[in-house]
Amino acid sequence: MPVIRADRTKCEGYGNCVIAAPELVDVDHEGVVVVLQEQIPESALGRAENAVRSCPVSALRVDG
Amino acid sequence: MNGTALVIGASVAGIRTAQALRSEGWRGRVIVVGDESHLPYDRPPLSKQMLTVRGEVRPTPLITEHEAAAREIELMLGARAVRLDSTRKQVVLEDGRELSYDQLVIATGASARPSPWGQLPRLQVLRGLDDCIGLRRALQDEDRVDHGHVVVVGAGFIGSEVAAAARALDLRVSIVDPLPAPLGRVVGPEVGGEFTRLHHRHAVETHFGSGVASVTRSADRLCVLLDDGTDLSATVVVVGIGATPNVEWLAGSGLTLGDGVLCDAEGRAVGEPDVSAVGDVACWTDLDTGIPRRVEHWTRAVEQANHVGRRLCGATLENVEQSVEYVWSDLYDWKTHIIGRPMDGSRVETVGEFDGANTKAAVLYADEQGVLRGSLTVNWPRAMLLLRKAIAQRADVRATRDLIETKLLLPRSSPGMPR
Repeated sequence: MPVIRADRTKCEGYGNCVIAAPELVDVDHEGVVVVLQEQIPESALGRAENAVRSCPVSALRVDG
Repeated sequence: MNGTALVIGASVAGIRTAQALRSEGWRGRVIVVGDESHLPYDRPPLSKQMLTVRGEVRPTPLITEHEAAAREIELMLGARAVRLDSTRKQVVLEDGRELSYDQLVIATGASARPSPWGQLPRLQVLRGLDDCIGLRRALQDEDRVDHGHVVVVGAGFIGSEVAAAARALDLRVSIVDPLPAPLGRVVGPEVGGEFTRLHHRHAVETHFGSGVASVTRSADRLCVLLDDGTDLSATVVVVGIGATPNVEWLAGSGLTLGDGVLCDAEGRAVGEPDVSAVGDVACWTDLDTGIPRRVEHWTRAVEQANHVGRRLCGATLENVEQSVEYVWSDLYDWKTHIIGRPMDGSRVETVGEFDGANTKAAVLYADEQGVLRGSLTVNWPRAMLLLRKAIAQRADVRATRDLIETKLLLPRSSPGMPR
């Protein structure tokens, strides 16, 4: 199963990923991305790729 | 989903369209034509950290050569489209090559509005990577010049960011705008005043409420004469007075051109079912109001690219009404976000506070019915996210304010505590 990974050092809290894939990612109190669910179910793959493409600082990627 | 999808333009809207087509299952060829020879790069950093960082210029890639090859996205770079023949379904390039398409996506973006005061050495605009490299060289050379002085014309996002970058390089900076307060048309004159104070706090000289009458050259300086008679002697002048959509190549194509390529609410060019437009060049019709509106925001370009990619692949479309305008700017010690359309609101209130470097604030703009229409947030990403959702849902301003206060202000939890 593909997984979503976040680089918290790159994240600047734009939040586009949370709009794109709210079941997979969120931001914490500091506004930095946190992965809620690493494994991406088939039904959420499009939204996960969307989240990756909508990050202005390329802080997310989908592996596998 | 078969046949050739031809994307003209290799900036964020064009590249994200090509990627969305592959993600959504387009099986035919995907070709992206870009007029610059650089590998596709992202523009927001050009007016921010790329001006201040020393050493080699490293643009932020929008796609790597590896990914393009792996996803079979054909990049034709250094190639300029000069004509569209929608009857024969062909695009003609500057070198005479003709490219046929089954689906065409126009993503040619916008160009910086040129200086109305003529072309002079050390007077420049900032839009592309070459502009950025030139400006960066000029700014970083400044410390060798005695009494160097950067004059920025235009206090919108680009102008303000350039001013901030020049101050980060410890240069003397003045900023000029005919509006009495920066971003006044976007956030209103009162909140715009906060941006004036922000510039002042970073020792930028502001000349707001006065236009530029002329820019002339005198010896090794540039003389910027303002309408109010002020004469500024500059070593570098940066003109940031907006952008115009790149539609010249579409003259005579039969497309409806106004402020960009006129499209329906799903990005189809009016009257041409096999032609779409995305990004800064596209003027999509607003689903709610029926009014065409061109928006020059990064996030908007990505949303439109996803939407068109999905539509061309026959996927179910998400509700386009959900899309809320969103733009950011990094200015000195402020990370600012503008959400929705603040000027659609007439009642303005602030949660949190404007307090110099410690600012953490959300300005809420509501209409007469109390519906939240837009917001400006500073240094508060959690409030920004909450507001993006609230504005999409056309939430009540009172309820939204309560939500921010109870969820984000009252429980003064320490960092790392669960929410």
